[in-house]
Amino acid sequence: MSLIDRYNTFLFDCDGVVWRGVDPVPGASDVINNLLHRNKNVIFVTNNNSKTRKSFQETVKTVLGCFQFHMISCIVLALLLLSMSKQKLMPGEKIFLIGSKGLAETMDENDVEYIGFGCDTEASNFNDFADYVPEGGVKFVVGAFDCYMTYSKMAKAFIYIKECGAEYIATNLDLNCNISKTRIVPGTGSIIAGLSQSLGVQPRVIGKPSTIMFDMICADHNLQDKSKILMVGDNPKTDIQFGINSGIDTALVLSGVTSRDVLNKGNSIKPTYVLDSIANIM
Amino acid sequence: SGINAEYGVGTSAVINRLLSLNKNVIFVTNNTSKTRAAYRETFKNVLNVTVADNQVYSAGVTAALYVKGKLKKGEKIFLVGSEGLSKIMDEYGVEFIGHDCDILDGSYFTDFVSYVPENDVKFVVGAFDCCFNYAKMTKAFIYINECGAEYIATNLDMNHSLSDSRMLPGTGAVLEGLTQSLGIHPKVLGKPSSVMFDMICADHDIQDKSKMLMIGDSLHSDIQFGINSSVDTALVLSGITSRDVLTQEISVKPTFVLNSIADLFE
Repeated sequence: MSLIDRYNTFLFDCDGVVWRGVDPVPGASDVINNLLHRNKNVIFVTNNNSKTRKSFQETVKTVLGCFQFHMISCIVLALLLLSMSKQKLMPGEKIFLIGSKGLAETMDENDVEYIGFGCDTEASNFNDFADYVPEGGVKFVVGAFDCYMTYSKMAKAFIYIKECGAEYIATNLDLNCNISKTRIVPGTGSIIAGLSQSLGVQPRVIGKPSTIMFDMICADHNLQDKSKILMVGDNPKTDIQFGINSGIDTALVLSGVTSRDVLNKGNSIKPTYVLDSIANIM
Repeated sequence: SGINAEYGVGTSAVINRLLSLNKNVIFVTNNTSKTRAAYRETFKNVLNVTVADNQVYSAGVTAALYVKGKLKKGEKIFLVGSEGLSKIMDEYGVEFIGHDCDILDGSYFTDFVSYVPENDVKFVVGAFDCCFNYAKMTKAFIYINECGAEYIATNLDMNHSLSDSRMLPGTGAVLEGLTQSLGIHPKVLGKPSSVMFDMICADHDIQDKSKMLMIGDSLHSDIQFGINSSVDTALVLSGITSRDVLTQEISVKPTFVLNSIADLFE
């Protein structure tokens, strides 16, 4: 029995599975259109937290040429973040945001007040931090993908958590991401690793491998039978572990951050299936 | 550190006394931003002690000496570090790039998708850098991951004390993201690694380890350095380690415990 026949709902990670940067993975578009044609549920489950929902939809259209799909996008991740923040934010309270423009826009759209976002190169001297007086009312430090991350931001985030008792949450801890067919670069996990290690505290993670998104998907799509759901991803620690934590089957593809060499070295995280790429689903 | 201006008078007397007794006195520090010339000044002004260049071994100077010894003509390093470290590299004739890395010149994608690494970058040297940013981390990552540059760090202390009331992320924190994204650990040149110890022995032609004593205030940096180098150690309680902390420590044991270096003559 092929994978297409065995499952009704396909959860796809994006980077390294359906695209790498702006390059589609060969065959991805065909597979997805095929699945949609057969009335399968196609849902993108991504830890990407720098695109707005709108720009994510655009990307799927331009890169994959797919027009009908259900998705959990970065924005829901951001909204989840939001709902967790908002529940606990009183008027006048705010977050310290390490994150992208897309995430900041989402916060703006939902009236969540934040500081720290953007290009901060305030301190060129270590001793400058001696005079830094933290703002009042900062209840959360949110760690997300931020290509403007600096030591200054790390130091301030450290101060808000260590000295002011702010809660430390992160969108995800992916150490790397595929920026193109040939290049991998540090991801969110790497951006906040130094903060976590210097604090001696790990953040609460909202994205994969946490099952928060899975629970939302099941509720949203009224999915009852877990045995008919397949999670497809390229990262054992986030995608496959997400599937395992959620109690569903998993397929590891070798088109992204995991190569066959890495796989052969052995891993404690075992996928149900291993495929060269998404094209093998057919 | 653990010797500071407050202790100036007593410390000065101790060091000058050791020198007058023809003892080898060598300062071993994980500092990466001061040149040897700056140290000579500090010793003169603060402690009234005259030191020669080879009596000061800092992790910064060690990094310069280490890469200088291995770089061929035309080869260079990618440098993550302070202004001071870049001056040390200049002083030892080490060619470097990356130090003045702007936070981002263009868009995320232009910067990293199409970034073409320079040739002949043989080392990525990581040290404390309060101007560190994602662009530097990513370029360093590319030089190691794609170009095979060797990954070196001056030290990996997770925290730096800024003052009595404020602690901040240290070198270890600055480099942690790079280390985790690569999945490889850097070769550490500073304490507690024994690289500086080997250099000191070679430089001063020291043969008999049993006649050497490492004195410091940090168990995990100074005392561990002595242990890794197989020399006796003395922990002073005049710095970051209190007697309470010492009694709670089970893995790192100094040979001697002193209140301060003045006790060397007790």
